[in-house]
Amino acid sequence: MNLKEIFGKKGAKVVKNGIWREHPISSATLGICSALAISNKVENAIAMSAGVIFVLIITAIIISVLRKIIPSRVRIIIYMITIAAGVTIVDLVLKAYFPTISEAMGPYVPLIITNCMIMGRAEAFFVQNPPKLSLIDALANGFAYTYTLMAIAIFREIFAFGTLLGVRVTPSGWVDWVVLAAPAGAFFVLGVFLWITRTAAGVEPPKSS
Amino acid sequence: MIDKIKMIGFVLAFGIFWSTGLVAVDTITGPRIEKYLLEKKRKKVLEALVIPYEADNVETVFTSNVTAEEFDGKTIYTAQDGSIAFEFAGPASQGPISGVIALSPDKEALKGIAIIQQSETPGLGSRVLEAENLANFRDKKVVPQLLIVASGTASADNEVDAITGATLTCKALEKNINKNVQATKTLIGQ
Repeated sequence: MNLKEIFGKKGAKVVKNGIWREHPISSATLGICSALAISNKVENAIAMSAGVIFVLIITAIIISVLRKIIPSRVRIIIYMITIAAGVTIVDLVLKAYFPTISEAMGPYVPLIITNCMIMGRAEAFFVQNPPKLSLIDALANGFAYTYTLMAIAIFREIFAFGTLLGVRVTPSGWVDWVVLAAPAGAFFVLGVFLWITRTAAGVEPPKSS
Repeated sequence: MIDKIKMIGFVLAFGIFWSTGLVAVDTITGPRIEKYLLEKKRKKVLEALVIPYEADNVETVFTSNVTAEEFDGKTIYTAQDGSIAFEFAGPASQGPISGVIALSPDKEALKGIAIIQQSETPGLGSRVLEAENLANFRDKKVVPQLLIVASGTASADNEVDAITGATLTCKALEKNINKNVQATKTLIGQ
């Protein structure tokens, strides 16, 4: 099994870029607001990722299908309407069918709208590429977002609450690292994550003049 | 000129398309959301009044144990033993907080508190509002005032231990309880 057989030559490149070389969070630092806010518990991170992937897919399909007739001067508005509508659908469906998850996520569901990762992919990719490739790109970026959120959430939940998906995993006498549950803790973990992945991917820091 | 008209037309058509979609989703999900919210409110009233219920009999337990009465636009829920419950809402340390406060039949002590919505820091402020900590408020006097004091120092019957690391949330809760209890007592004339 290799990527080229599944996605075709172009598709394989899109996948590689999405999940590693142009990783939305670590390479482009897009979507970090939500990555910081919602990564305190694995459960929340799963729900957030699912929401983002759903909205990415909707945006990818609509924008890439309409890419030739969207007037370029109003394209940002069109992205915003699509993303906002997608997020509202996610919000309503969660409220009606998964109220407990909806409550745990609180105001972060509507805030998917402001996840610049979706906007960024729409402007950088969906508006220039056919639906099939756009869909692959959406899934690859969604996957990259998901595994990053998972990595941070697993670390934060274990160290800050001593649990994993609500199940206690730390020995008795464990002292919770409360700072990791607070927003500041998210910055530390995300910072270390960016440091590791950027070094591994060989991303050069921007030159200061 | 034609370009501009096309552009506006496109945005309009696009907006109408999505609006129709959203109205459709709202029509489908609306009744379920409303039903859920009503049930949630009833659950919280029962929790505050310390009336046990099962997930599948909220409606029966509520209607057979609690009567709702309007006082100047505010609903007061009365249990069979004479204790009352009412909703409250106010500011807390990170955002708004809302819930239900229940008072004993003589209106001098808390019967219980239940939280409907809050946005305190998870793991810090939010711990104050967890059911096991809210149980500490049961039977505490609200006359002359409820006080949240430093952890481990509560001695009088109107004092509750604070939670370390959640001072601001404790303070906000204390303020909300006292204010709303006062307001409600004045409202019902006691």
